[in-house]
Amino acid sequence: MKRILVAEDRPASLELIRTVLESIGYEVIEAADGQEALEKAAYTSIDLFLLDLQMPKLDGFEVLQQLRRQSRFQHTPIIAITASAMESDRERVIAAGFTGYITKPVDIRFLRSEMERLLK
Amino acid sequence: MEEQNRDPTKAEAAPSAEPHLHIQSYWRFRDLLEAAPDGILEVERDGTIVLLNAAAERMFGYKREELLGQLIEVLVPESLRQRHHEHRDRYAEHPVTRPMGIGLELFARRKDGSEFPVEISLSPIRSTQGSRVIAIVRDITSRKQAEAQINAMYREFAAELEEKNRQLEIRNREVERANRLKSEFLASISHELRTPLHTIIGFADLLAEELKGALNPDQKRFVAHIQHDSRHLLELINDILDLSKIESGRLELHPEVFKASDAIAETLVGLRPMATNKQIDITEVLDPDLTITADRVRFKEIFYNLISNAIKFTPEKGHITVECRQMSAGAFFAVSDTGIGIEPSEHQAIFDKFYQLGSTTRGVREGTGLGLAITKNLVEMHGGRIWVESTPGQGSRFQFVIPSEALQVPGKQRQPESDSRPGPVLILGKEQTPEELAAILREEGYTVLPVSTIREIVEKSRMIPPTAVVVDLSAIGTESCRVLQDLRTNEDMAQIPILALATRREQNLATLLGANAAVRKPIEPASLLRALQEHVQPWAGAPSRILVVDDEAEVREVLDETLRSSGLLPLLAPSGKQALEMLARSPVSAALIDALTPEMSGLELILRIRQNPQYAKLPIIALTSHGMDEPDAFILNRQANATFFKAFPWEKHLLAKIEELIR
Repeated sequence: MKRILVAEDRPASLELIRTVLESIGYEVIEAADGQEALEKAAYTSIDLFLLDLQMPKLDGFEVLQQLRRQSRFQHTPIIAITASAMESDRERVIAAGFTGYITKPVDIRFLRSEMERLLK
Repeated sequence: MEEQNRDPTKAEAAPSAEPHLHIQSYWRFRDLLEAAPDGILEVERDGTIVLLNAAAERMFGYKREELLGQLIEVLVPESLRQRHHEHRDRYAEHPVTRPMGIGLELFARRKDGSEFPVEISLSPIRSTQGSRVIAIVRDITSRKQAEAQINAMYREFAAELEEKNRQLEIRNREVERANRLKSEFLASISHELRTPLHTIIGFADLLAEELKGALNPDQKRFVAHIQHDSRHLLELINDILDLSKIESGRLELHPEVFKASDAIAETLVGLRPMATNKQIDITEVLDPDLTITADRVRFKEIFYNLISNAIKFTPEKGHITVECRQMSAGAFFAVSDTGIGIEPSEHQAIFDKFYQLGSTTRGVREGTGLGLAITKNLVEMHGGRIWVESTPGQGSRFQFVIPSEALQVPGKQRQPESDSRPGPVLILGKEQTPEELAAILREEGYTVLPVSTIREIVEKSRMIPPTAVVVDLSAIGTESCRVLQDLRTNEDMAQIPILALATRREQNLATLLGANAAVRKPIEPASLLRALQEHVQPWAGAPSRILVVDDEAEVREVLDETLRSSGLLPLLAPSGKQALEMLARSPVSAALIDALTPEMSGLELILRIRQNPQYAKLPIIALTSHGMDEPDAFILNRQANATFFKAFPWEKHLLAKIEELIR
């Protein structure tokens, strides 16, 4: 079973994403902030990360940087979730080294198909 | 005694030879001298005053006998006496008639010691007593005062102008800052709004999927309402953000060259399901070769907005037609529907922000009210324009044009200035209101901005360089003249043509202001237009003007619409006489002439047009119908570049022909 780590500080959003991903058979590891995401990633194998950009302690960009420094996550898909609709922010996301981004509100069908595509 | 005092020759012996003649000329000389308004003094080589007139007495405050025999230096301010002495010696060596102290400010001294500015002219004369000098002295106190006053006024005015400019700059900066803050605020508020919406939409969708258990019909409907309205809210947020970006100038276009039909087809893919739901069929009339330079994403957005609107406002089983085609100066697009239509009074307002059709929507109210405002902005950012034609109950036709040279693909050479869109004609009127004058110019395809003060002209000019400035001289005061002159001295604006609307008397003022031309009041539209055309550079994207002559209003209307929809500018004339008047007023690129106009036949009109060397080669298309004499038809065929038979479906061919002829 593929394992996805979802880092998101808003419990409702976390539950939504978890429910969607579990409904298509993925195992979801939850993290309430960037720090927790890194800690959980340290002793678990993860196939894909979904990182909210705005989180307390460590934001999505910082988590990305630290993950990419670890050789085992160098090629792991890391997807940003952002509520920003500004193009400049999206450009920043790609420039930073994210594999892709998903904007909030997340279309649950799109989320499913994206995950399936990336984890094929 | 009195007589003696006024005797100008007191220090000299009276002339002796030929006493009669001498006495006569002596009195005439004396009268002349005394009548002169300037002070006149005669001075010996050694500086002794030997003669002076009444004006000199008054000017210096001395009695005549007090000055006679004195050195001229008593009339010179003390500090300058020594130098005056030296100048006097030098003058004696080269005695010629000349003004004294060229380029210097000269001062004289009155008896009471006060000083005043003077202008002095010196002339040598020869007399029996040796060489002398006549000094003509003019008191220029009042002139100097006036000059000082003018200078002070000018300085004051310049300071005021500077202050105004400073304030304007501060205000501009404040506006910029406010705009930036607004955008930042909107960006962050949109972020904040989207975050909770994300879970609302997401969970509603999850519920609707019935993953965690089946819903009863009521629950299903409730969830559907949440889904629908939360998505509407999202749309609204997106539109507001878009519009704010457009309005604050933050939306950047990324132009590329692409086939319009491809982009339209892509847009249709996403919209077809919506249309199919309502059993609406969509017909495509797309020119597959039409290539445009535009922001592809935004171009698709324009079509998305127009087509989704069309679907929204068209009842079930209706029809929608999507068109694109090439025209001379760009590309033409249209989305037509068989929907509920729009009242003529609302044809403008529908492009306003948050405008939603009132009574006519009949329950269809799910837009954000921003779609058309965004669409209009996007079209205009591409240098184009959009408009609607509609009959309530029958349908609407949204049309827009995008000029071909408006956008540049990055890396490509920028086009010279004259190819860009022309600025407005700023117009300041009085006897005829700016609006009346503006109407004349608008009819000819100028963009016009009526203003009510001269300051407004200066301020507006700073923002967008105008094509020309038209000013009614009666509408401005003398102080304002300076402002207008400043327009001239400003480097950026020195080239802007200024047309003055002037009465015969104001012609001089027009020249003084540096106006390029003066148009005589009362203003005749023809002369105003001619003056403007003489001074305004034609721009590359300017619509070609096509003269249309037909006595039937209906035909004129059809042609008007047909030509306009291809980006041409029709000039409509119901008779040959009016056609000739229009031609005299403004040049055209081609003419469409009905062969059978009353009064003057089409043939006669064509022959008369051809007489003007300017129009010897004007492309002329004759429109004929039945009932024409064969000989006439023969000549007509030879004089016109093409002939069209009116009863035929000829619109499309006609347009093609015009394009071919004017290219």
